[in-house]
Amino acid sequence: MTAAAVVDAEGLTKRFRRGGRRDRRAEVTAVDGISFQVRAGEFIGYAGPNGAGKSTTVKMMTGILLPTAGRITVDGLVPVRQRRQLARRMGVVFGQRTALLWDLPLGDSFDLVGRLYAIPAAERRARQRRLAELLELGPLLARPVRTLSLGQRMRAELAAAVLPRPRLLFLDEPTIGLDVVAKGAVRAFLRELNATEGTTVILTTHDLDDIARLCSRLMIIDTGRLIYDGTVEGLLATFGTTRVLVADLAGDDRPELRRARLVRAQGRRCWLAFDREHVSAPEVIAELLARHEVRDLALEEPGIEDVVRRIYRGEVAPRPGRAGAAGG
Amino acid sequence: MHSYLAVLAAGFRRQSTYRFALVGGLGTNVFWGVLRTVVFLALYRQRGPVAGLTVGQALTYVWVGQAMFGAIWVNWLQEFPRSVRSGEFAVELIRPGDPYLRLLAFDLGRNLNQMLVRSTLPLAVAALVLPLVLPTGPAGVLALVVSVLLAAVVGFQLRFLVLGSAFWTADYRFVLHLVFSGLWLASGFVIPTDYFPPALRAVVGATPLHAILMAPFQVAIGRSVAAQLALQAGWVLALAAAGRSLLALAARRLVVHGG
Amino acid sequence: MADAAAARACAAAARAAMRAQVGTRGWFALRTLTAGFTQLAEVAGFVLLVDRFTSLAGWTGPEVALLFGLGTAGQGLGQALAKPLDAGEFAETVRRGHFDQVLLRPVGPLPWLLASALDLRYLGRVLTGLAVLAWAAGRAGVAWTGPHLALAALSITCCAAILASVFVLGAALTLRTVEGTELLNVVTFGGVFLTSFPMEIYGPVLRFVFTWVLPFALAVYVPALALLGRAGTAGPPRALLLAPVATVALAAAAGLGWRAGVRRYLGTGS
Repeated sequence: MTAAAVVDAEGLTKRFRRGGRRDRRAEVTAVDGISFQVRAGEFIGYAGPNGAGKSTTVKMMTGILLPTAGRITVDGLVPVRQRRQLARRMGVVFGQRTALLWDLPLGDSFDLVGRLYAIPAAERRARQRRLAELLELGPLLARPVRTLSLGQRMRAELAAAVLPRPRLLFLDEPTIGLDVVAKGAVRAFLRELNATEGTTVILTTHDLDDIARLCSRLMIIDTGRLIYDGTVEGLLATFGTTRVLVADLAGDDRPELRRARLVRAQGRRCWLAFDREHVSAPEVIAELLARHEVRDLALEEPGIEDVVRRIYRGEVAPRPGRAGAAGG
Repeated sequence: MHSYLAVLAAGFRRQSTYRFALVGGLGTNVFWGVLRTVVFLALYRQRGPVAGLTVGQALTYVWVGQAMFGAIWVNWLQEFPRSVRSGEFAVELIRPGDPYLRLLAFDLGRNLNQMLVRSTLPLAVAALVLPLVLPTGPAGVLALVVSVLLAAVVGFQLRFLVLGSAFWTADYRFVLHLVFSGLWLASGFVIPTDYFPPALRAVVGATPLHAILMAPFQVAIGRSVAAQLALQAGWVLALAAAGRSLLALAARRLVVHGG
Repeated sequence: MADAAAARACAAAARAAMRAQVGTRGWFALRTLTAGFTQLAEVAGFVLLVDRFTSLAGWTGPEVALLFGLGTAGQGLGQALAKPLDAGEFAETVRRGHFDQVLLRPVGPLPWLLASALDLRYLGRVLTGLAVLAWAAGRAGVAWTGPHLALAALSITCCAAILASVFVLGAALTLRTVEGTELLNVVTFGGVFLTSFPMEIYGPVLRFVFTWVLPFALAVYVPALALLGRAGTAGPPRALLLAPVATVALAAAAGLGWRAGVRRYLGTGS
């Protein structure tokens, strides 16, 4: 049984002209002919280095940017042309900018959202109660939004975005700047939302932990091109638990360890990769120190740039099959 | 001494980063100057001097006023009170030297930078096109420059006293708002105080407000130049004393209340 | 049906904006009052001026103040309604990305912007304008008959609408190029200032501009002529009709300009 495609993009392209009309050569292709489909109920992670084209793609999906070429439909609608109609069916939480009324109590913002999306008052109240419970917003409803902490505000923004039961939810870095507890709460909520209400979620993020815990599918964009579109498991299986120890040695010897693998060397600096599941960092360090004289040490966490590099180096297959199928 | 000059230079350089505001400011300056010129020309049609001012002198008033406006009611008005409210300013009080002079030097540096183009250019162009009454000899020009500088200093000092309310209340903007229009009118920025009823004219003439526009205006048209300059200098000293007292009071408050 | 809901939402946003502003009643009243002070100082200055000159092209001090009163009230109303579209403010809104946020809502961006950023402080200017109007009318011997009151209301409304329309056009331009549009304010506020003086003092070029391009003269000068019972450079009865017509035409042009601006913005991002 094939689920309908909620987002259908084909050859989606966006070119910008930088620096005025005189300089024709200064044309930047932010998004270069990407194609993908999102099925209803999927939880997609959308990642990429800064400037890769993530927000441009999202803007085209949400109807605030017209594509230069290619076509895209979201929930059967053409985003820019049918912007207001689409706006009714989607929820958006874009990082730093707020959809809430700054100086008024939180409850007032929800009231306004209710009116904006024409939700009948009784239904809105019931829904608000449930969301307040799930996101622990009860005691915050009477407080002005500007008095809320970042974590509280993010939870409030989420509640406001899903209050009208949107079919589609776009999130841009929702966990950035939040402490561990707050991140956990937001992730739990999103998981619940996607599971019980079948809301399709498109999450733009740098945080690989977010992706690991929430997304069933990951799309990676780099310089405008989709370089990975597949399962999260496939990606993590390759190196998700890999950590890299960067060591500056005193001598010119190359370390050969049992517990870690030398993946790169530059002068006296070595990059040693090891699988966190099987061996701990202290163990690797101990082995290294036992065999070599070390000047300096640093432990690296894999970031999205790391993932991208590995994809380019061919360590990860770019398109290991459609989401849902066994990947890797 | 040269540390203050360094601060002045720093202020001068700082203002260079606001290139764009300069164009906007210049445009506004010219526009309002032209509007007021039109109005005064109409007023003086087929008429001799009124309240002791000829048409040429009235037009000179307009363009000197435009030149001084940006130097007195500066765009960076809110920076000082904001730094006070945010607590940043407290650091100034523990640095060596005189914080009042430092603030003055920095402000003057910025002002000099913006006045160079924004104030002098429109005035110069207007002088070519309209029958303005401006000093011609080197002594007269020097007197005018000195007067303008003194006016800018008095402007800073008055701003400091008014915005110093930020040390005591978060609603300094309100205080500013409340007094701005009164000060604006009384210092002669709307119409020259020459046109005021004599009693009112005498009253405002006795305040420091006279020093920020009316004094340089009188110097420009060559009326009792020495007296005006002396008056301005006197106010600079008096206001400096007042400003320092305010700062001392504020410092004591900061120390007691923790800023 | 969707539009009725959108309209209601805008009304709710406007109410929310008003509530957020009022805050503490006392402070709000004071802030509103002081909003009009600058205008008051300006009028006071010019009345003193005109009095010293005995007359300005045949107009006495109070008569000039009448023009000022109408213009100030109209300007205040226009700003209360459309301040968020003022060149400086709107440029900031676009630069910060808030405009994108507005576009993501299921309402038209223009009604939402205006409603959610209603600025009641400017009502202080309206009050000042009305106070000056009352004083001037008293001194100049204008009787407040029904038609005269209606005329004053028409004048103030049209002036506000013209100002708001120019703001909208300016905002549409800001969508094209965010930098350097602050100069537009010079056009709007300068226009109101100039038309607070009798049109007779201006040459034919300015008179043309303020009658047909920025029809402030039609909204302020012409009704003032009728109120004061003077004959001016345009015969009163016909010209009075021109005011609302010109205002509506300008508003329509502003609406079209705005739509074009938004279309272009959607095409080029920010």
